[in-house]
Amino acid sequence: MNININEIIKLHNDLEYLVLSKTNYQNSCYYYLIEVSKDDDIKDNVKIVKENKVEDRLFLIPVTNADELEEVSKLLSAELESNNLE
Amino acid sequence: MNDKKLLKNVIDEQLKTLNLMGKMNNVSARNIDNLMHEITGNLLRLDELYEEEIATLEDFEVHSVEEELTIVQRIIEISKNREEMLTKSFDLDDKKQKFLADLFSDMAIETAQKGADYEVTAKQLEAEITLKNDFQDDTDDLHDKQKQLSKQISEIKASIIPCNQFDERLIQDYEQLLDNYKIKDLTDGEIANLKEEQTLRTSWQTSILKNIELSSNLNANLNSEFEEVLTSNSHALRDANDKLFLLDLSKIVKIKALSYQELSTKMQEMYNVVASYEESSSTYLYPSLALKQQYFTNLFEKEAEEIIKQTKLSDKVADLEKQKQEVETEIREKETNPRFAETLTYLPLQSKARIATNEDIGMTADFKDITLGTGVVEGTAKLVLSDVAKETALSNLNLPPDVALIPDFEVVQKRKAPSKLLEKVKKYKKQLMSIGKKAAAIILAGAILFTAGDNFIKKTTTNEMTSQDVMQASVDNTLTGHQYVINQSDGTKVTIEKNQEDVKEVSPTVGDTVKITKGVKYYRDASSAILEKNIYEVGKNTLREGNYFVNRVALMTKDGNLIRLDTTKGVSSEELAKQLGLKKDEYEVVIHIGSGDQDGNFIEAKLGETSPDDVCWIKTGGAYNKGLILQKQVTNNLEGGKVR
Repeated sequence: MNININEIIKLHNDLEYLVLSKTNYQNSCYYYLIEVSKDDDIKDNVKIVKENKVEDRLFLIPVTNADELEEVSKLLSAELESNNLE
Repeated sequence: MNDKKLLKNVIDEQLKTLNLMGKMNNVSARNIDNLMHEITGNLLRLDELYEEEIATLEDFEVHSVEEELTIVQRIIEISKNREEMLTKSFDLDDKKQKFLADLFSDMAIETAQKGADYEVTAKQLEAEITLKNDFQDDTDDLHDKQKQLSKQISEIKASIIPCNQFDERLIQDYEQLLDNYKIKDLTDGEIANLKEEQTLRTSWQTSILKNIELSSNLNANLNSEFEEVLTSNSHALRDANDKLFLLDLSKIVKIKALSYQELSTKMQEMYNVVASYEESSSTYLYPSLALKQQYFTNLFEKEAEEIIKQTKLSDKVADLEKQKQEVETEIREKETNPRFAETLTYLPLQSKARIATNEDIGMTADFKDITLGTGVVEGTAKLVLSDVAKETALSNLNLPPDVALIPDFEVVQKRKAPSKLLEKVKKYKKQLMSIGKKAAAIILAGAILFTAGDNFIKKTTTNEMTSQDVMQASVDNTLTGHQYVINQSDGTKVTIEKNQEDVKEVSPTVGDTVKITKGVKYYRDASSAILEKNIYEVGKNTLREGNYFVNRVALMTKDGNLIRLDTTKGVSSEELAKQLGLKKDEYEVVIHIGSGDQDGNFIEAKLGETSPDDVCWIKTGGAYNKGLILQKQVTNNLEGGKVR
């Protein structure tokens, strides 16, 4: 499964997130997500996650390393700027 | 032969060789050292295989407490074999082998400890299964009883004749009696004639009786003739009496009874009248007909008995209905019992959480850095083995290591975002971009999930806050216990009070009831809570939002070492710190929570032992705050306890 910006993804725990932006950093794909409520409203919970594909399954791992987060968040912010959200 | 068995055989052979080499004079020390290195390597490899097997089992997805018990029992078995391998392989009379035994003694102790922890867990699981089965058996028994009662009630109800039907039947029987006596349709004139006949025959009867008395000693023939006349008149008189009596009885019989109680009263009245009539008239008026004297009494007695029976049936139904209601109440209480519900709802990862709570700090101080294969044992081969084994086990399961530990983050579905939602996001785009730039700082401040606080969205909808403003709000949110301070773009500051319950400065005390809300982080052990390791979150992991009891209070150093643990009901962290002469900045407070017993009562934990209701550890700031809401303070008058 591939995910793109402006798509709502549903996780294994039933929570839904909107993909705000996507970037590549050191051969890995990262996403900037914001939680979406059941009635399709945004919630004040955002995440920066790293993609991890295992065969046809897609896992998202929260980024916790400070240096990695620092670098990735800059790239994701820049990508978000160019997202017209349409 | 599997890998472990093969390796064990090789090790056994190598140890034998080592023993022989020690006894030979011409073997170089270098060769012995080389062999010992090989043995050490093989033992590590064998231990690694055990570790892999345990790690695989630990990560095995289970769906019920019974499955979990099977897994735990298997882990115990493997741990025993592993411990045996690390202790009993060596001939301790052989110096070289004794050296190897000493070398592996730490690992053996660690293995034994882990096995012991799992044995405690197995006992907890067995207790949980017993509790669940007992609950289930009790509930099944109650359901059976309920069915039995329902069946009995239905059967009895089916045999009950409705009161009006019974009354109708009684009236019909009476009408039949009138018919038999050919008086059903008597006219008023005929009734008057009958009464006249009764009067005449009564008078005649009295006269005959006197004549019999007079003639009895004078003339035997005459006496005999009088006797015949008496018999004939007695029959006729009784017939007239009976008819008039039956006609008179209609005054009672034809009053309709609306309940069995009324019917019973009516019947008793009839019975009394009939009995009185027969008793008073028979012996005096027609002694020769004495045998027939209880004809009516017997006739109505049967009806009376039937009414009593019917009344008793109704009473029996009422009694059974009451019993059924009591059983149903008991079933409801059982089925809504939170502890019962908990036994029916299996929580994955329970076992790991249990293992964590088994690690009572006082008991396992030497092992506090070891947590289920994810921990670290400094400077030993075990460190390498644990990590390798874990990674191998995970790769065997085809899951990436991090994902296996956070299974919630698998993407299962996707869809296009509605335009309305995207429009809304556009409004906050600037803030979202700014947050992105500061994400690392926020996460370094202690949060993995980036949470800007309650005021973020609300505030930005009405006020174009700068990114700096949002950051300030967020950081203050994490750093202060009482207020959010937001710097506005015009340079002023807005101070927002937190929810009063959140800021209530109450020192955590053993026995308190605390509501744990969503988002609160919890841990397997007190040390992890201080060091922010192995973090779980209420609502995202297995622990649910709800009320729990504080059953342990621990004071910890800032670097995660235990200062004091107390389980005495009524003892507060503040009191403990005071006793130890600690200043506020010299310790951290970590509480352990328990779910209480099946009736929701507090269970006092014991030092050095696990409690059957143990749940997890939670870090507090020395007071109930950040999602911990005090629901009920433990009372001050505590037998054997201390006061807050």
